[in-house]
Amino acid sequence: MRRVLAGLTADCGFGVGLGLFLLVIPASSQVNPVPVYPAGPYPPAPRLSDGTPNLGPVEPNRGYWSLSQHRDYAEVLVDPEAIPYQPWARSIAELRRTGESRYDPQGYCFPPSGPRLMTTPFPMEIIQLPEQERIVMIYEGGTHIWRIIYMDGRPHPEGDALNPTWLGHSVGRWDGDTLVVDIVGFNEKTWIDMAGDPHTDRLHVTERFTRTDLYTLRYEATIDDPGAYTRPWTIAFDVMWDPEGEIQEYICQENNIWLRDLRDDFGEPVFN
Amino acid sequence: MSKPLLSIMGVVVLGVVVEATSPAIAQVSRPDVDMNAPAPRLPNGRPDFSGVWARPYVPDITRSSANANGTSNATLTMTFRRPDTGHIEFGWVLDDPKTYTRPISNQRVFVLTPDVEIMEYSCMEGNLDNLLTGVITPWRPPVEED
Repeated sequence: MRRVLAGLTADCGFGVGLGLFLLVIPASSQVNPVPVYPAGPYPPAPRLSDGTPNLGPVEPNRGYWSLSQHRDYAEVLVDPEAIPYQPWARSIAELRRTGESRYDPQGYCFPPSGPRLMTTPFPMEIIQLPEQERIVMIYEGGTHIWRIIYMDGRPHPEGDALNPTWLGHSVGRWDGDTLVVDIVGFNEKTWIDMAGDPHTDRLHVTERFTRTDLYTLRYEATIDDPGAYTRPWTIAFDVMWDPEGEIQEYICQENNIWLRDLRDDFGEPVFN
Repeated sequence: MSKPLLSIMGVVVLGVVVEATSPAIAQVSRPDVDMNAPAPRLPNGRPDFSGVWARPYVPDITRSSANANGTSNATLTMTFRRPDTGHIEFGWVLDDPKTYTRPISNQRVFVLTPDVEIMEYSCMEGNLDNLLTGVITPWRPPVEED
């Protein structure tokens, strides 16, 4: 039932008919069950044999990061005090906030992008492959998607070689014990958050992943999009580790009844 | 819409398999890799299946796979063997006595494409237009009568 609830609220069912459902779930609620943790302080963050922070399981094939839903990034904003919209972006953001997310691309089972991957309330796992100089992140939700972060020092492609995609092009590096991921090359088909904040293809996201202890991953993302915002802005929140969890399969398109009942601004069915 | 001639499969360690399809692999030029060299191994001695692998598109196999959805009694056994650096021998056996009178199987070879990176793929991206135009209609459950 857990995954059903998560799917309804995050991937394919937060539309008109579920407005009431959303009212009873706090915007930043932990949809996935919270495991029982021992009394603090928690054990230190684990490390790989080469000393690199281990962002994954301590025991093989056990555990995942239990992502929480953060519907509106204004709620997890750390800098500045308000999202610095350009006028057109503010208008779109305000309009989308009145539409109960009926036009959210993620509701149609399109992939989320950038920070939205980390605020779709399903499990995720980080697989470090130092010999291959890359890190793979797999997400149970958000269309059951994965991303590759190149750690070999390569630059982003430039010009036409930077093909705009849903997830963009990610390169990473270690800044002390923090994994820093730099992403560019987004298409303009996604919303940054579920509330409807827009972005352009000039979006540049810098993510910082820091495992502060065994159970806690501090996530920070700076959104720099001079096409939509007057200055960069940063969100941050903690993600908790579930030591007993295993990622399951999830098919967004399966039983996406939200589409069946979806109606446009004039009350007409969106689909024939 | 034409189907891709080839599909690309990326394999990472820890048993995770990720997959995407793209016709772009047809344009691949292979770097200087000895495809017949001994297969690499992980530090623990187990075979290393890491890499990006091209799978030939075989319509008959695809059709038989689609037909192989079977029942919940089905048992599917998949095997991967890397005889050398450049190839993976893949096979599957489907045993579903409720659907088939005997197990069915297939084998094929994946070829390493060392200079290719897997791309993202959104199945729904092409489908939505068909949904909107009614070519594909969302499934509706039967109306329950009192």
